[in-house]
Amino acid sequence: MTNHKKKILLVEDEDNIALALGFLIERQGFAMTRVASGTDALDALQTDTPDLVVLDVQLPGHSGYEVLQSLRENKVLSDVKVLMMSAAGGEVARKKCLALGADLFMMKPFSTALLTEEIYKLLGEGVDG
Amino acid sequence: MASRPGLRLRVALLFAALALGGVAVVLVGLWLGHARGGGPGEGYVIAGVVAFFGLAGLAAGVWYVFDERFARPVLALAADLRTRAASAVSSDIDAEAATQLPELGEAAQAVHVALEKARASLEQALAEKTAVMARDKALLEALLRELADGIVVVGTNGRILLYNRVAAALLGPLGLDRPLQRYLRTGPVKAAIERLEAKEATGGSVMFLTSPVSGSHIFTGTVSAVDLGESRAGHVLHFRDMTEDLRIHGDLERLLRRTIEGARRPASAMSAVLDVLEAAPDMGAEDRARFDASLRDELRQLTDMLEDSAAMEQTLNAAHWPIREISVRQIFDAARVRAPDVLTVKQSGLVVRCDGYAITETLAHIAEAMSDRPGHDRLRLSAEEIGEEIRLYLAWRGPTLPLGDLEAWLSQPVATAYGDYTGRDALTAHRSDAWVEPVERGARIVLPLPAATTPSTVHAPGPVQFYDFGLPAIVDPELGPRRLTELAFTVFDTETTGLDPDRDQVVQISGLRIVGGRLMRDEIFDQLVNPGRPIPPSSTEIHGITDAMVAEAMSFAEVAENFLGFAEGSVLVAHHAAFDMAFLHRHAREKGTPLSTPVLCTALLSSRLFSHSGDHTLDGLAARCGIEIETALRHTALGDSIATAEVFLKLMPLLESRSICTLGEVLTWQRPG
Repeated sequence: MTNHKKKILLVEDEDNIALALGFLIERQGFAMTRVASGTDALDALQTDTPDLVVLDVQLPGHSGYEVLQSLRENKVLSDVKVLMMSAAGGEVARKKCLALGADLFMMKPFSTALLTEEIYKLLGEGVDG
Repeated sequence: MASRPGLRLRVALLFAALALGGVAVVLVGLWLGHARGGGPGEGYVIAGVVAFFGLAGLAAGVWYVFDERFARPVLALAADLRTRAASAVSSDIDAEAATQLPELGEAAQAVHVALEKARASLEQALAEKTAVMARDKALLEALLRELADGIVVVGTNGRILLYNRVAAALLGPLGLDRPLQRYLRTGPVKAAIERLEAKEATGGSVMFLTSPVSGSHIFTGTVSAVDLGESRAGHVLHFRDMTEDLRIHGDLERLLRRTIEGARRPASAMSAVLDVLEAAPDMGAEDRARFDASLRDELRQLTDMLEDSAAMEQTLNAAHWPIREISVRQIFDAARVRAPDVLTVKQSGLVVRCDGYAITETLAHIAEAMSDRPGHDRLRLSAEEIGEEIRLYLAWRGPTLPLGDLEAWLSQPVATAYGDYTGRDALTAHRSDAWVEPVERGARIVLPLPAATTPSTVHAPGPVQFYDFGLPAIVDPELGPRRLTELAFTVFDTETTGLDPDRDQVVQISGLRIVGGRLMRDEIFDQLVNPGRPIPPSSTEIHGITDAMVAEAMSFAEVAENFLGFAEGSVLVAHHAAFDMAFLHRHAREKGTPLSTPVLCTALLSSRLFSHSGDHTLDGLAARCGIEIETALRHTALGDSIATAEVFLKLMPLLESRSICTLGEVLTWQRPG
């Protein structure tokens, strides 16, 4: 296992999902920070710039859409990769996320293997074992 | 009125009397001369014979010249003036009359000019007075057009006074002045009206559930009363087709049951497996792998089932909602009316499926809220087709809009009429959403909606002729005593394989209705007929109908039945009606049910009204009445029906001006001889 040192901000309010996704991300050697609301995500983005944000749409406080819009309007953060996830909204949620500037949208539930693969693709690295 | 001889006959009698009188005077003179002078009578007889033939010939010659140069032009002028008195004809006075009787022609021309001027000023005054009414009418028509539900107004006699396009789409080819029970099972409606009369209803309306006479659809609706002062004028029926809603409701219930039951089984299995794993932490690696596989398998089944259910739910909801096709132009126009100071619109011919009212209110609400924000210019509405969806854009130059603000606006009620229904509710119901995206020097709000699959079904704004509140209550089935303006007419024409009704066959029959003195251009019957024999090329040359065109058409027996159904309760009108009626009578004889429908013939009416003229063709009559027949439609059954109907409408006031007002009077008067 290599130390990628790439930083991922996980924004997810569902504790069980955050537990599983956090475990997987850290196991792949990424540096992971998890927050549980849109407001905390905006704060976290102000203090440290991640390489990737794994962002849920339905969040308390500011929605994932709002976080994404702020991120894309911020000159410093506009290039940060964003992977959006949602359990609701269907096709229109996907269109909205991509229109707002997300790099990828995944509908929940999805397989953890696929998520890992997509994270590697977004960060421009091959999947590690 | 038929007892007084015509002008030409009177003049002829006058000249005959002159001739006879002259001959009598000569004969008396000769007789007296012979009595006094005596001599051989042969010379007197010869003189008498010569005088008789001379005077008769002279009288006939002078009569002929007088008839040609005076009586006929006078009659033409009289008919011309009568036509102008009864209806507007803008062409100059009859040229023949003007030439033969220059003084009278000039005087008539002066009267014509004065009459035209008076008409023009009267029309202008009327136009001004009716402008306000026209606006109200346009509003009513717009309302009728836009309503997503069927609306029918019936008189107390159960006959239709008004309907909108949706009602016609739901019930079939409706017609004014026709009994509603021909289209709708009216038992439940009558029961609802009885409950309404018994004042059981709250809020002035009662619900009913019924179905059309043909088909198995289920309609739900309400009925309410229309009162004019103390008297009841009729009832308004407001209904919609519930069949699809009921089906989808059933499908959604089944889906919910299937999802619950489908989730229960893998959930139970996973619970059991997890219990085992928890109870036996020391199980062997092989067993552990088996249980893990089992867990993954159950989870996969659960996920697949959820995906399946989500897809099905989306399909069902997409079919269920939105239900209405509406042009983007109408949405934009309505939004601009709602927020006139805020919006400019780039119009679009695109058509979407949505609840037009909710979307319009949502757009207008967002526009108004946007207008309160500083730093942007005027808001612009536009639309773009992308794949199967239409994206509505509300764009501006200036800073972007935080999505949180847009979400806050969407969480507010869109309109008082919709209660607590919010913009977010409207978007969710449409399986849609709204977002903000940057554009050059500004930003825009994007609102995607599904594109209409059949834009042709959206009706362009145009004259609506589906109502006539002036229709009388028909109680007496005897049509004879009724005035022409109170009756319904079916003006029709046939195209045939030839001119012999005993041997030839019909290849097309078309007709349209006149109700309450108005031509119902939307109530049209137009069907081709398979004549069961080749159409001669000489006939095809006239009407353009070929064997290939009628190959798939119904037989005349079937089409004639359809036509008689279309014409039921109305008076038939045709030009040279005897010819067209011969085919219908033949069909009726073969069926064993003779036709008793009254028939008027515009050719016969013309020959009586314009007896001085030998031209009673449809073209000649149309020209006389100032009606232009579109060349492309001439000699088509529908085109000739329209021309005949327009001619008949012009003849109606002429008949009234001669005090021929009821159907019975016209039927008697039109009889030849």
